[in-house]
Amino acid sequence: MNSPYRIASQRVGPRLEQKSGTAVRRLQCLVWWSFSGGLAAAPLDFQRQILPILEQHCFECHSAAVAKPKAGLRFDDAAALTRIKDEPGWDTVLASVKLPSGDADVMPPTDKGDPLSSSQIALLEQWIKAGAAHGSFTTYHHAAKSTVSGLGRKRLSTDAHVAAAEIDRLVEADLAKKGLTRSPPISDATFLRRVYLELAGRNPTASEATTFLRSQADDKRSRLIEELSRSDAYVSRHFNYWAKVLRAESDQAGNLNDAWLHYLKTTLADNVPYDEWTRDMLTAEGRLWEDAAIGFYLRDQKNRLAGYEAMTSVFLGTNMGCAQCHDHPSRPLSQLDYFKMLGYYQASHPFQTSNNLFKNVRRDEFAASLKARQKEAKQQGLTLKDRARRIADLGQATTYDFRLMITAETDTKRSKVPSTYRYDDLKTGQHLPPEPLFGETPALKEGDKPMRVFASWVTSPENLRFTHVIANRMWMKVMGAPVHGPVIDIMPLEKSTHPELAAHLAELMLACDYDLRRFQSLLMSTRSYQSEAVSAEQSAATQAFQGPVFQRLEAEQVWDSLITLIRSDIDPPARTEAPDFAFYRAASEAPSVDAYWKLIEERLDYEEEHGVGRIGGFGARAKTKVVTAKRGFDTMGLVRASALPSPAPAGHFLQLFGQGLRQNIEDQWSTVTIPQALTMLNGSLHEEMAKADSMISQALDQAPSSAAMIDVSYLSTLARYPSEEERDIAAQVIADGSRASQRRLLWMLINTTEYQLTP
Amino acid sequence: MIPSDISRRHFVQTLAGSLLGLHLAPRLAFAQTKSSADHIIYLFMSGGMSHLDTFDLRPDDAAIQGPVSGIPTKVPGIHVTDKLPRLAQQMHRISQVRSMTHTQGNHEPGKYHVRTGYDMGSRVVAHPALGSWIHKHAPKLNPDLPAYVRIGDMGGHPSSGFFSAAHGPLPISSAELGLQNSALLTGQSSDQFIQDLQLSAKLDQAHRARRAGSSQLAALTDLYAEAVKLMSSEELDGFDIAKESSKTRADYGKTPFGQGCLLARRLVERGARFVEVDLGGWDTHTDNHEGVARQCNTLDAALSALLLDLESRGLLQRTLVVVTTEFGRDPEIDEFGGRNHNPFGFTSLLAGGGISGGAVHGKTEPKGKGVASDPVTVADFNTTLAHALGLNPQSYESPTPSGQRFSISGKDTAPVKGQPLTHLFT
Repeated sequence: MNSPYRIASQRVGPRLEQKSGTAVRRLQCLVWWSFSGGLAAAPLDFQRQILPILEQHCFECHSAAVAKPKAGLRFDDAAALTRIKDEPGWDTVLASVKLPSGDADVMPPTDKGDPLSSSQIALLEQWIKAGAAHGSFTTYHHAAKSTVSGLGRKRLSTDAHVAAAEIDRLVEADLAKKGLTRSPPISDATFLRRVYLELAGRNPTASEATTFLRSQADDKRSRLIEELSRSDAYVSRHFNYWAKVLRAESDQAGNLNDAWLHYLKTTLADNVPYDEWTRDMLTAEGRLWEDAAIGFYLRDQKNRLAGYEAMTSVFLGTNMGCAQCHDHPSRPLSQLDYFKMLGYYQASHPFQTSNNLFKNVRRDEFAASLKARQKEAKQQGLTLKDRARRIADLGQATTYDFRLMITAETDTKRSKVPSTYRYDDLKTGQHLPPEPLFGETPALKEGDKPMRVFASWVTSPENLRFTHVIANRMWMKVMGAPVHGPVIDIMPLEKSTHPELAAHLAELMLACDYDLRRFQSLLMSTRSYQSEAVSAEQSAATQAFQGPVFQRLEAEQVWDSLITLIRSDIDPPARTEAPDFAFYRAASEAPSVDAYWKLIEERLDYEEEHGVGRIGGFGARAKTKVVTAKRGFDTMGLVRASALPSPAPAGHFLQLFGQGLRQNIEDQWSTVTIPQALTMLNGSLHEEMAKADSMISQALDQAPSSAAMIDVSYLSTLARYPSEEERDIAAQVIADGSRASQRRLLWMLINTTEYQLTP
Repeated sequence: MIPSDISRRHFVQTLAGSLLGLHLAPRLAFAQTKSSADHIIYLFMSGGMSHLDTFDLRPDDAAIQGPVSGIPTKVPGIHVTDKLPRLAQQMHRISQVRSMTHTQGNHEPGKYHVRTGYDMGSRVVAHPALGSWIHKHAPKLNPDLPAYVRIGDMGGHPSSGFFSAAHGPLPISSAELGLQNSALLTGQSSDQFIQDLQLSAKLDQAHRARRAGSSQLAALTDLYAEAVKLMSSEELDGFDIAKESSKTRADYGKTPFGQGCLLARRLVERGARFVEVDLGGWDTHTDNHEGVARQCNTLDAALSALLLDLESRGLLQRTLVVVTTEFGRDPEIDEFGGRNHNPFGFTSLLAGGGISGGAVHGKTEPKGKGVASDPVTVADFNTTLAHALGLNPQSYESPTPSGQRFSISGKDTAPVKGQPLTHLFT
């Protein structure tokens, strides 16, 4: 067994013979998942993880809060805890909490309080097996009870200095253990370009670079982080990032799904907390104009299982793919687990039956009227030149557009054992009450929408896995290597490379209340981040964070940096107008069939007058399958990647540089290729830059001397001043100050490896 | 344009090598056994080609088969779907492997497995694609032409894995467009191009020194060198399908895939080792039969034209044409008229390059899901392709000095290694 999960599996005992479905196995899964997902897997912290359980279930009878603790046992004092080891023994305590509810000896007694949850029992058991140590704990202060509230109650400081220092301390401890040292601190210039690429997604312009480099302020680095975090460019960069994670496509479900892309941009501009927008998307329902977040579901309306698996990968860091067809070979993840949790997901489903296509018009009535019009058009041999034919076509096409909706059921009748279920313990078609993969099954009361219940479970602070996943993701984004295993399939904490750091980051994420802007800025304030970058090989070999990992610029980073040289209004406004759905809304709510056709006629007039296409109401866009212009740099417009279709079409610069197709989670690629080199050497981007009105031409025109021209060229490309030696070479190139010589120098700078790799 | 005379080309190459730092290691001299092919054209049916509706029919089981009828082919006893009439006339050149099998039922891991022979797992090790492995191990036939070309997008492709990126494919996003940006900028002379390239490298010196030892940096300079070399090469012509007659272009079908196959032939003709073309759209979850019929239309024209074209140019003898996919599809036709993924049993094809056509290897179960006899793993299949090129499939390499050792036929610790299907060759 070479699985990285071997130890975790062994810990929960040998794999059961029976494939699925037993209560024992269920409990084992719970144990495994709580280990793998939670802080619980780190060396247990008694005060944060065990004490709250004791407090909740035991203190009522066994603490100083009662005059005579039952059986003389107390769980709220270090000395008393030590005594329990001998009498009655922790194993006895464990056995009594594990007894079934109603048993005469169960603890807490059935009439006294709720039994411990499976995950609490698992945690307690782990703690007992590890020796039942209580660290620096002395005694519990009952008066302070109201300030204690489960996980994150330590409430780490989110002050940048304090938080950064604590992260650096953990990273340093790890480096010291490995006999390594941190890379040297970076210069202001390196910091400048690195932070711009990370937060703004592009190089700084010459003037942005000059402002920062000339500033004498002590806190200019933290100010830059703050400033960029609140910029329009931040939204552009992070839209690109999340579009890859969520596989957000412009063309999915018709161009109407632009509404979802718009939702994502607005969410980022408003800096909505991560747990909140996760819940938003999971609980989305209605039509696009009622709730644009339904795009999250529409994305996978044709392959719902793929959508479900992507959801668990992104938000729960759990790749469930193989359990669609069979039990996982090495983890406690059964095919039954897969379909039980699917029950929640399936209770929110895309419109399929078209019963509610219109709000007020009967579908068959509409169908008859459409058929009549089409029949007539056919009989008369009408073509698209004839208005009647165009009306019929538009009337039909419009229904394809507005029928998109998500219906959130209040029952779970769709949750069934599928025909593909491989094992004999359940029958195909049998109802399957939904259950989450781990933790407690939330109660589903009459009238509850299963997806709402599920969304609360996913994003609950109790679900440590959710927090760990996003903390790991943000660390990976900023540092270039994960702290907790692959972002879409995190490892059990104790198997991860940096358990302590990973656990700390999760706590910090909670302290930030899932404010990702804040969290990232804390990471970027660390010395760990502000150190010279290391190569991917070095990072892989050391498994340590000597500095961030350098890599080839992402497709959008190269493109947007080049656009910075061409356009002066580089950053698109973060907040744009929402797609206008007025027509679709009106059409779907038409009071009668006749009223519907009248609306269609008016719409046709509008479209013909304004020269827009079928979906021209918001951002009319010609579908471009392949970019056919010879050199393909400006075919779709010289605007930032986030303002182009997502993803850009085949053949576009962004595709050549690895933007990916948004088919798989983060399917961008960073391999270097010959077409990339040819584009940078010979592409028409150089002609665009050389134009008199380009940003760089204007900046160069304003340069008073050839020395200033050299500075502008360097600052605009490498975000630094040249060394003396470099200045000499550049001076020779640019000796005559002509446009052609300026162009040559830029060509040389853009074709350096320094330009194409992150600083 | 850079003049293409020998001295100029020589100069450019020397320059590319010395200044840009050509890091390509000298090719490892693996003893080449007897080969039956020099080139491979690798056609990947992306999305999961339904074996049941194409080559591995179920005429006696209407519930499984749905509305598909078989037609006889050039080979007595072999039937294919009636949606492949032209290919039916080529079956004597093609051998089928109807017992392909693995366990990766989702697209991304399925493709990864078929392209590399390994499970994607937790992506701890990035395995190279078959084409990269061949790029590394097979001596180049034409020094001016990249040995490995991929016509299609790179998204999700394993590329060179833990090998240097220099062993990755040259990606061509559209056969129609070919290799773009290979001509000098307007107004830039070749002398100036070379001089400026030297100066650019000088300005980059400090950065390169600081990051010496990074394979990414090395790959970047290597690929610049390759790009510059290609710019001055006559082989650029190979990328231009506009040079083909309109009849030839029409024969392959005016589809991106058809034109991709044509480009593959041009490149193979000039000495490319491994050319990969994707045909997407096989993920027929809804209306499977309509979808498969559409796909077959494209495949039928392109593949039959390719085989005939290679044959008429005397290239088929030494060119192995492969058709494969990430998995087949499920026997059950679901409520949407679709078929789900089925990695347990599916079909791949081999033709040319020493393959004796008209054979069928292996069998799926009566229901068409799992394999009934002579299972073929991806390691077996890829080992067969290595065998055709005369390469040793058990040449082990490791991503780290002390790490696990991999070959195209499996890990060194694997109890069973991939075995070539030697009986399919003449």
